[in-house]
Amino acid sequence: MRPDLEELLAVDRLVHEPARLVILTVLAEAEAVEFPFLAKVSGLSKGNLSSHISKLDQAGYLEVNKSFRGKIPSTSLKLTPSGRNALRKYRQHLKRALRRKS
Amino acid sequence: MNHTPNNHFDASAEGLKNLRKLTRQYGRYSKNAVGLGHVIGGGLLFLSAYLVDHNQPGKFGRLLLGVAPFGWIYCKEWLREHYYQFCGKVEQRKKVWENPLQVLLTGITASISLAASGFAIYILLKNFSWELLLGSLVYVAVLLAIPFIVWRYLRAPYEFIVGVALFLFSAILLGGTLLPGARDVFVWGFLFVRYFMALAEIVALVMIPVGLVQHLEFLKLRRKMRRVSKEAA
Repeated sequence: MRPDLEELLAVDRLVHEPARLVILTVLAEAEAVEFPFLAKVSGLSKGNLSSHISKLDQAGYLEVNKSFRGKIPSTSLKLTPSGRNALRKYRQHLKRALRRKS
Repeated sequence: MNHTPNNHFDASAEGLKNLRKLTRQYGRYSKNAVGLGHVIGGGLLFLSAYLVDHNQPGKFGRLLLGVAPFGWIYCKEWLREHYYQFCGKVEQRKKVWENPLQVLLTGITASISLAASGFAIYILLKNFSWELLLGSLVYVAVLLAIPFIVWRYLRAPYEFIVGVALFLFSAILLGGTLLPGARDVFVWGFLFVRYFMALAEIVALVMIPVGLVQHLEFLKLRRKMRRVSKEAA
């Protein structure tokens, strides 16, 4: 296989998926983000968003904190250092692969 | 199967750039941008400084101005949580120097509070009376609350300046002027007091346009977010 294609195919697929990339990008710009904001800016349905979040949580890329604000339940998400690292590596990887291709 | 979110914040480079910008802008309202809170705080500070400097307020005026900073804290926190972060909380990213700076500022205000409280207790012990005891208690209570308020509620630089000035005025207006030595301190420290009042008035006048600009930026951001959710629907 051509080395440029090989490099492109070696990207972290957990991060490469568009919805998850959007989630990680939002989380990278803040200390912590609550679920409704993420749902609003991503345009994903609650169920779809939850499913992507649990995949990222299982991989250790983000931390989920559930609490109550008064009587209202609130879910707050935070990017872990390993999630931040994975996003940084993914960006570098993609840039390198695209540069090589052009 | 297409997982691309169905709004303009797609996973393209441009879409992600817009999303990063929007998150940062919205997150500012969790800490640094106070918007209308700045306008109210600035107006209140200007009024307090002006009245104390030019026209000593009466008992009712003193009570009102003395309690107002507590109302301002409540109002600004309410605006932050229920108005500016209308779509869920997004905590602004911390800079490396923020925590040490907060510790330093709290430490400085705690030292000043303790010194001024010690001075008030010294005067009380020298000239004890029941009226003075009440005045001193209120004065010391407000002073000792300042470091806690700085640590918990005054996170943005402008907030710190306005908040500390407002609570100092509050301590003076609620109990400080009852202390027999207070007049001497005002005369003795005349230049310092004049300087402090003038500085407070200038800061207050700067805060109002800063807050208004932040509020207008927020209205623009809210329109943008509503458009996004309409497009997504």
